[in-house]
Amino acid sequence: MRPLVVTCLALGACAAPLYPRGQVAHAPPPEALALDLSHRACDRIHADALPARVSGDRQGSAVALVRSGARLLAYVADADSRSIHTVSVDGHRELVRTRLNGTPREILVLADGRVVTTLADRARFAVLEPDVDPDAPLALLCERDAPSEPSGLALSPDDGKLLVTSSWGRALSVFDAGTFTEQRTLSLPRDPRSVLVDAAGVAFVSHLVGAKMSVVDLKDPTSQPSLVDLAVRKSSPLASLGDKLAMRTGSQGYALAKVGLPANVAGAAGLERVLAPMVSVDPGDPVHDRAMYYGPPFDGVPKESPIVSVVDPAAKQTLSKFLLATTGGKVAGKCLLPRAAAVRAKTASLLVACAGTDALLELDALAVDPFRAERRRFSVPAGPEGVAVDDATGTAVIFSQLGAALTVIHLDPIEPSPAAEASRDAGPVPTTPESIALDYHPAPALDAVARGRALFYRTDDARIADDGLACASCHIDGRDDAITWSTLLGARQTPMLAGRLEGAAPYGWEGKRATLPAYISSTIGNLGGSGLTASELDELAEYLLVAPGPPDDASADARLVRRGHELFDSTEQGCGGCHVNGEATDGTTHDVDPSREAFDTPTLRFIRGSAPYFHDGRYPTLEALLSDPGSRMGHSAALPEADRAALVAYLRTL
Amino acid sequence: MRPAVAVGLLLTAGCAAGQPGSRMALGAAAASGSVASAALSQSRDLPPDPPPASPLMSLERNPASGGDGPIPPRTVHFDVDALPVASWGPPTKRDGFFVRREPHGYLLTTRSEIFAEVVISQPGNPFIAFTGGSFGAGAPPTCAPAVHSGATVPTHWTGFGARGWTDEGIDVEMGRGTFDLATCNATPLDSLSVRGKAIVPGYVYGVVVRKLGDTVLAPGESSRDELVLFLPRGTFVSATGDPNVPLNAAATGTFTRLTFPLERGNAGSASVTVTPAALGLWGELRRTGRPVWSFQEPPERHDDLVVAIDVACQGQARSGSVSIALARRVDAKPYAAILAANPQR
Repeated sequence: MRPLVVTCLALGACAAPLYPRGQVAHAPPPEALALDLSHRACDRIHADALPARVSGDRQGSAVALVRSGARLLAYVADADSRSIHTVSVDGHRELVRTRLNGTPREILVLADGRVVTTLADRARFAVLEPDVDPDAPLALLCERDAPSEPSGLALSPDDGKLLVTSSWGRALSVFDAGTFTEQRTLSLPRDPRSVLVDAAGVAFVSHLVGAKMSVVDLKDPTSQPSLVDLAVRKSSPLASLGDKLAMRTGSQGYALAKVGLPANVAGAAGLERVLAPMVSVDPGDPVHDRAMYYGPPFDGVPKESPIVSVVDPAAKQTLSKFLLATTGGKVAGKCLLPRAAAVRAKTASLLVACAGTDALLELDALAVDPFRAERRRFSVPAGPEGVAVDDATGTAVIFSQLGAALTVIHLDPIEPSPAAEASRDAGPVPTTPESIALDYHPAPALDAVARGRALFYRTDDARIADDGLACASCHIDGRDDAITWSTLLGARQTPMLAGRLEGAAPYGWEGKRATLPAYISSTIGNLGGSGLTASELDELAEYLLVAPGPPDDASADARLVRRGHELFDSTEQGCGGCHVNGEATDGTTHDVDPSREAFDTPTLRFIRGSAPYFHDGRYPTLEALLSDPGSRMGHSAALPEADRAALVAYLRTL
Repeated sequence: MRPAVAVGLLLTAGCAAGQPGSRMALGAAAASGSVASAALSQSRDLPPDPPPASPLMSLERNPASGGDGPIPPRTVHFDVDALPVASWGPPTKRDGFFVRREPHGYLLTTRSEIFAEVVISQPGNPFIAFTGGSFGAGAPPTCAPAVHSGATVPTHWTGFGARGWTDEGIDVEMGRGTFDLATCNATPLDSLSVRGKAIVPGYVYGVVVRKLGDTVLAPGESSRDELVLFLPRGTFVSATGDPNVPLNAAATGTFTRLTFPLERGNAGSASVTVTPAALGLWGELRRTGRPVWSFQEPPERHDDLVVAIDVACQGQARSGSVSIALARRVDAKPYAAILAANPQR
């Protein structure tokens, strides 16, 4: 049986949330939370007009803006407090908090004012109705099932379809936006996240890993998803030809936005672009060992570099095909953890919320790579996760998960005086951002975990890495980036951490570190970091040990799983001898790769979602791993195909 | 016949194209602010106010390196189809060039008075030179009749007139032909001339060149064009394009030439770092219409001013932008003219 996580945390948002479940007595949940709402109708309670969404926004985020009469309100999906905060943007104060029966990830306002939020830890989304009195909590109307870890939300242009992405469930589900009945669910590559629909009714889905975007034509009920490849090359006068020719991969595909082209360009009327902030990654050639850890040496383009991939939705291909070096020196302050995006059409501004640097970047949305066309940046409290903008007034709101705050920024500048204009530093002067502290009170016992979480998401900290990377750069949401890196010791794939570290000692592929802090310290050394203090290493370890893994997914053929379990534990296969009960390990190393030293037995917990497999990522699927006749792990290659399928089915339940 | 005018001197010790640049801090205008400790007096069933969030930190200074971020870029968006279009045609007697050996190098002379990038495609050892100064890369031709009798290689040149250079335009000339390795004389086969139009007046000029010969056209395309831009010499130039033939996309010497294929569904970008010395060279070329032999890149790193170019062909729309960004707290005087030239501040 899986060991219970001692300190109960909910992992729902990108910056894994801290939720002290023991604290809920402060705000008694509404009676609705005690009921199973999955079969209840989602009909409205009131006939009155509800607060209306601004800017016709049909895309989810961790924060949404509505207008109630003259008041501008923000709804904040707070994974830490498992609540929706209603905030008066103009009044700079929180009005009320609505408790939820799960960890909210995105929030979306429907055309009639009802509110939908994904509950990432419960494989459901909830439909709520605001009160005509904005000071009152939202009423929970109903909940509906969705594949595991529902995340992103969007509406079709006619508001008739509600789209839900499921990250762990690898799916895009289409619901009727009136009845919330499921119309279809499509399988997608791993870690789908944000979703939007263009004017032509085509849905675009970002993926946390793999540098790809899924595309589904909603007008055709039989259409299957296609993929847009977002991989790029780099261009730098310092790079070798081999490195210039290498196609990079990508990660951190949390966000999407879209922008219309200006009508004053011939032929541009009606054209849109889909903007996908992400991080382009060059892990090096896994076939060849590098003279350094993790990827190629710096040559003007870092191994991890932010890029906004600009996709032509009609052609379904990216316009951004290169990363350009702008200097021969290393640069800090880059947006290595992009988390959310929104477009202000009036100024063609792409707003990107960046964790790590804890900033909101205002970019030129019309650039081929808007990250190279930064207009302004605003500092915000730690861990920005969501952004929304009122196009008309230029009011942007940013929700910071770690800082438990909502920041209000008025984007329209105060025109500089003639005297200031004459000086070199003169430029648009933004109004002062103000942050509103949200109602959240983590238990004091979680302080160390919170500090560990903050360290995990910290970029540009020379103690952690010499190139600005954060722990979360590779361990996305505490999990993995699906990347196999070239290192001094050979190819190494990034292991998933969240939910897998309890009882998994020793640590590291070679099992050379007895404790988690020791292993973190060695990894930081490999990254060129100068090192953290012992107490900081302990805090990081404490956070990682309690950060829960992906949600459970019970959808499996019980008979097949039972047969797979028998095979797993059989002496003929011998899997269970090392991978004790599948999830624990024998705590020792084995010679599984004759060309390398012995490797520590890893836990198989959550293995279904952590491809590629083996220390060097040589197997893209579990089926490929179990079918390899050259494998030194068990004898599964000799099994009949049906038995291998049963073994795979069992592994997928771990 | 108009006498040839020597406007280019090539020294074997000339500067290689695309010298490495130096460090530049990334960043942008930052805003400091305050934290409002929100009162929750209207909340229902909620505990007392939480402590305020952490104070906002200014990002004006780079948190890791201590360097400064750039000021907001000054960006001009332009419609590619508003630029002049040039087509190739038969050469004139003013086209072409020749190379002559000198005691300490080579003299490359174009037959018309142009500041030009010249490429001699010697097999396995292409030679690239710029007239108007001492800039070259690769092995110059030996001009040895005994060795190369009758041997020719392809050559092409791209440049703009030393005269007629105004804020609004330049006279662009391009040519293709054969280069006789024995006599070191280029014979033109095709050429074009067109008045290039300013995108950033006085600093960035562009023309659309209809490509020569058979090309595979994308659906909906009636021709295959290239956008060719001319701007001051860059010390650190990155550009999109085939990594195997980087000089097709960009070259830098006396000036920087960028070429972007205008293919439907594609886009191109370049990042060009310009120093005060390069701006001085650009200004002197324009003012005198004569080569500048004394140009020297300062040894210290200068990557304070970045000119970024984007071109995108989406549907029927062919649009572009030029952004000019200067690092903060840099002495702006050497850059004042180019910053002031941008029409869309």
